[in-house]
Amino acid sequence: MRSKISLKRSLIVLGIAGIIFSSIIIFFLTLDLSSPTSGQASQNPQQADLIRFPIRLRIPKINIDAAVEHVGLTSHGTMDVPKGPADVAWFDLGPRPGENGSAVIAGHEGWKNGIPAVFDNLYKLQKGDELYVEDEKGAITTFVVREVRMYGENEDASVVFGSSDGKAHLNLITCEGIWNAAQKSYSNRLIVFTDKGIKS
Amino acid sequence: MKKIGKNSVVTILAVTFALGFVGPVAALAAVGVAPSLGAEAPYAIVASTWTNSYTSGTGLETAITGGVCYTTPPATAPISINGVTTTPLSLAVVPCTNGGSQTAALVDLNAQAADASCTSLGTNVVLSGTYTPGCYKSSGTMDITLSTTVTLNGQGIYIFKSGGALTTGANSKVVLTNGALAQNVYWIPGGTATLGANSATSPTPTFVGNIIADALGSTGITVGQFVNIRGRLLAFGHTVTTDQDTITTPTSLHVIKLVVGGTTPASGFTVHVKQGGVDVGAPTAGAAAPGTTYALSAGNYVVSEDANSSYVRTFTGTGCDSSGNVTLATGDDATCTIVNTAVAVVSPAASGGGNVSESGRIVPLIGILKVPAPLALPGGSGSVTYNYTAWNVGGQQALINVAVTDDQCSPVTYVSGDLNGNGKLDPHENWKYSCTTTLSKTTTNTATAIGYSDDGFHQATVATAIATVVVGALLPPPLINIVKVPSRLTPFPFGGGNVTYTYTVTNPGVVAMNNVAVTDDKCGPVSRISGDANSNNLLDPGETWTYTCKTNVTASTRNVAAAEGKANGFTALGYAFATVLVSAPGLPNTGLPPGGNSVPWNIVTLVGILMVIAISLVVVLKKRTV
Repeated sequence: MRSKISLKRSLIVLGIAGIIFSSIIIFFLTLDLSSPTSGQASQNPQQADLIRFPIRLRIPKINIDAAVEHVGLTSHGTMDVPKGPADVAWFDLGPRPGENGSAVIAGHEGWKNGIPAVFDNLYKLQKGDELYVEDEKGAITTFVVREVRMYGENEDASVVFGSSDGKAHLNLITCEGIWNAAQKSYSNRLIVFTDKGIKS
Repeated sequence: MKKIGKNSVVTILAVTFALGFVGPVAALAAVGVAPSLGAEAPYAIVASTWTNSYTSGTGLETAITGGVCYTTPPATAPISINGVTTTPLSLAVVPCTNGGSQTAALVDLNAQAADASCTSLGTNVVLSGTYTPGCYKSSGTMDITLSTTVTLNGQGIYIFKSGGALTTGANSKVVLTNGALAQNVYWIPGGTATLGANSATSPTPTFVGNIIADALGSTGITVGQFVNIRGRLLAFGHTVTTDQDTITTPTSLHVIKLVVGGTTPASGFTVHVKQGGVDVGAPTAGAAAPGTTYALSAGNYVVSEDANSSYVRTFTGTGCDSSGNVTLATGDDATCTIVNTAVAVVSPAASGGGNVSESGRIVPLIGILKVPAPLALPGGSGSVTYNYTAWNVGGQQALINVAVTDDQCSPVTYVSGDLNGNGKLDPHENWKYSCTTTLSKTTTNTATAIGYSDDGFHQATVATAIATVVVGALLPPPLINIVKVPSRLTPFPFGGGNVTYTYTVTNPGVVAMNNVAVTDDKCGPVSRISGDANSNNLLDPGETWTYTCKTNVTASTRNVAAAEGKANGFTALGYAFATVLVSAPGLPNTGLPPGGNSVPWNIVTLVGILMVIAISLVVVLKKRTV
């Protein structure tokens, strides 16, 4: 009799454990399977010694002080996005902020249930505004807004992800425009182009 | 569509006058052709014996800027050479070894002077007044009298040939106006040259040009006191005499503008040549004029232009690097080309975007060859027919909307070549075009071919061909053509990769070219791997020289290669464009539905089902236990 009860309890525990395990599996399976494909940032080895991974983005003008996630490409060939509304995401297949080339950071605009997102006010940035990136050692790199432009969602982004002037840039991206329910995407992307340096 | 560029977005709006041979033409004078001074170009004085006089005065010694060579040095002190004052005793013997260059230049110049197109001024001529570019000759002596000023007016080549001596009177002057340059003035006296003294030193030149002594009739070149010369005294085997003079070897930089596409003409760009951040140069500092030739001193300069966001700008040519930096040595005759293109490096996809849309994209490449007939009109103005051939260099896909235009000839008419009549420039097809015009002066023109890929990307491809036709001179100018093909015509994945460019350089003209060079604004070094079949180091008509260059491309890039070659005093120029694509990531999707939420119903549903199953399981087990 005792062994029978023990067996039933074991079955109950096993069932609950199975439910929890299944939930966890389902949770991870339903995450974006195309999240960051791993890769090394292309970088100058000498620069890499000096420029470290970004950990925070600060934009005083629009009260942003956000943690930086690292993302790569989705399976669709687009840059991945941060998991939540509060963080921003750095494209880790490109240069680190401060390295020569165009580093890219994306953030959400709008979130569910009216929760504010990090780049809700990105559109307020103007030429000359400053922003700061802190790296893992606490070093701060300053960037100055050069230009704000609107892109179509499928427009060629070569200029956003690449540059050939031998200088360091940081470009910020978020969504704008009209929601396309079928595509589950907004029609435009707001790009803030910035240059490393201090406002002159 | 293929007939003429009705729909062409490309207009070549300017080209250049690389050797300054385009300019006002005297009604009677033939336009001269500058000879190559070869190894003598850096020299201010070439002599067997160099004699110098010096009386007294601080800073009144003979001052030379440029090279000097001689067998017997001056005996009188002091002399300043390139800013260093020295005594003749310390001057080591610097033997001249450049007689061949002087002889070759004289052969060129005497041939032009002997031609009927060279204006004969008579016997024992006295020069005075103003002269426009051209060739002028005297069967006897050629003089400029006491205190007379002779003005050379306009950009171009000036040749003054005398059968006897060349003599200028005291305090006489030869001056330049309206773009005339000292390096383009040639004095070739059959006898001795004697320049009269000035009563005082002059901060500006009082005599300009290159005096080249005849090997037989001349005994040398004698320069009187306080003469300021911008030019060269070339008297190989003879004596050069100086006396507290200033002699400066001309050094020049030709800035060429090539504008492809858009609506802004070359004259709409403001060009600068700066030293230490300050505009320098002559005739017009920082001028917008395309094709300007700057007379400069040796030194470091930067070519630039005011930004125009509608165009992508690159610098190319043997005279400058990809940033427009120029290093001039004394006697240099450098060329730097600014290429502006309004054609996008990456054409927008017809649909889609990001990496997905790059699938199937192949970069198109078009080529164009232009050959004028004739290349020279020695008798003066006449009719010239330009024959153009456009072909599909890439060969991977047909090209559509092909158009050929010419900035100096219209209309350009399609002749033949569309073998299957499909209106597309297919691989292996050669489309022929033609245009006829009348030229009254030496003219350099640029033809442009444009085509588009026959796919959803509608990618533009552009090629240019430049040719010069000489009016009023015998010697034909050279022609050069360059085609560039990258080793990869499909896009690299994000990050890029190594690409090798292959350059094919041909001579479609009738004269062999020397000093042939190929440069690329985004790849170096460009190395020749084959082609000089007879090993004479000349790009002979019919020869094909092949060059290569390898580089790493990390982002989509259009680069411009330039080919140069010299002959008969002209520099032939050719340019080739090629694009290498590197896929960029698609833009991130950072949005959620407006006013909506992102409750993961799939998860909620599955978890709910599992919860129901679990609860049911528990209930069943409890009942059994009870």
